[in-house]
Amino acid sequence: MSDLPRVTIWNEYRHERKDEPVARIYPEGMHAPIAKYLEAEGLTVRTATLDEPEHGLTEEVLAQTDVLTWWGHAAHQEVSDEIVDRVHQRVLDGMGLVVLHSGHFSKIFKKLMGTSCGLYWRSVGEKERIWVVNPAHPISEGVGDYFEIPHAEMYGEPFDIPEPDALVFVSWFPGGEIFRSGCCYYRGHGKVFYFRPGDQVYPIYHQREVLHVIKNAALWAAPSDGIDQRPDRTTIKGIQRPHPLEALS
Amino acid sequence: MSDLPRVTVWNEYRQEKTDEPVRQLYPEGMHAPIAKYLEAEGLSVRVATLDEPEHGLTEEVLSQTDVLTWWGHRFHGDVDDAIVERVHQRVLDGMGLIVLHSSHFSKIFKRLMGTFCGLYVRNVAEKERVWVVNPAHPIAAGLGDYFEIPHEEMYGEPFDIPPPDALVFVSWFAGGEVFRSGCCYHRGHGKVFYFRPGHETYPVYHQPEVLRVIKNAVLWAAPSDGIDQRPDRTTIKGVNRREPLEALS
Repeated sequence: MSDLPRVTIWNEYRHERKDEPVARIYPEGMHAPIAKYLEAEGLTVRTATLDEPEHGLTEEVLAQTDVLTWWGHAAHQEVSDEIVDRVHQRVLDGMGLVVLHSGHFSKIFKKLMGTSCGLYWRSVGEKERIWVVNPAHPISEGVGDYFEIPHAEMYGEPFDIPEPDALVFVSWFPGGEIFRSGCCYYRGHGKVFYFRPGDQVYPIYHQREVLHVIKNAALWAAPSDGIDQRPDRTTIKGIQRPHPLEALS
Repeated sequence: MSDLPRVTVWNEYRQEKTDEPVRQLYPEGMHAPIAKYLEAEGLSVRVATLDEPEHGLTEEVLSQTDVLTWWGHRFHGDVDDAIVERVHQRVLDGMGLIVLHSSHFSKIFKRLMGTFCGLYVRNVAEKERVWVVNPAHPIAAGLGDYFEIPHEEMYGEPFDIPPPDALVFVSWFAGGEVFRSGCCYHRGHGKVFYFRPGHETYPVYHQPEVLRVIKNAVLWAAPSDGIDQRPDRTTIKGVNRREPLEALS
């Protein structure tokens, strides 16, 4: 394995084939600009989509994936529970997961969070200003104090997620709402990052700052110490430790 | 509703009926000493057990429960998924949940955590010293620097839980292990506390310090602002906020 993580970009990839405005913005799918950017940055990238066999997330693909990014929207329910369990296990074993935008309602994100992950939203093309609230965090590297997305769907609080282990971005919207837009979690041996921007009707994944954050997140979420494959790893079950580390009298 | 929370003490309540050593320690069930202590402290208490209809957790019971305590061990798999969903929703709406000892593997705790909640275990009646690591926390009220449990089952790290939103206790074991024994979480509108002590073959729930912690935890976990029953609460679904709070040009 090289120093840079192997990334799999997962995309529902339905809007781009059915909705003309989305197809115009992303003729090769929303995964394409993300994959191209990360490849140009030197990462090993593959893509996977919902309508492939096993949603493109076979055991073999996951075994070669250090970080998975996830964009889904209208078809969360079509993701098979078996694949969700497979991804979940891989995250707990150490794989990074970057959940994008409407992926907040994906099965895998809800399973990892344990909450409903509901939020408020409005799609009128308003401006979003994304403030860095943790400038020391590697995911905000190179971003400056804030960046703007000219036209975005609004997401507003309350957002029903667990308290993030680190909060990196907070979005401001001209309609009056704010939103926790960059949230880090540690789950098992894996790292999870939720990143808000990315409604399909705006060219958000063509925007440089957004792509830069996704790259930062992929580097942050890469396994710190490889993927844990020990047969007695605690993500499976409780384990008898019959021999104390200190002698018991 | 009085100022003090209404508590439901839930217990699997099987080993007390089948295992003679457990029956001797807890002839009326492990829930009995907990319920009696909380009642003596002025709280409204009811008990519920696995073998009652709906495990004693009907809609009516939950609608009158501010904080639920949970002890299960061998029969987590017998808890009906529909009841788990009901309790989960109630927690996200604001009900407190105190998860005791072997319930780290209960369906409701795993559902709320999103991880496997595995750990290491050894049962040789060694000494446990429960250290207070957050003396400012209300759950540590009245405890001093630490308290001891003369004979306990050991639980050791790694413990596969999300990093707690607050860590109140860390246990030392004579055999050389440590364990995060008091873990606070905020989930939706609800508060969750995991408290480690309580193996069924030791008189742990007769010990005053342990009962005091459970009382402290119940008071902490009581809903801050009642139970959220708004029909548009975000624990159900995303909500379109068509009307911005500020006028959009």
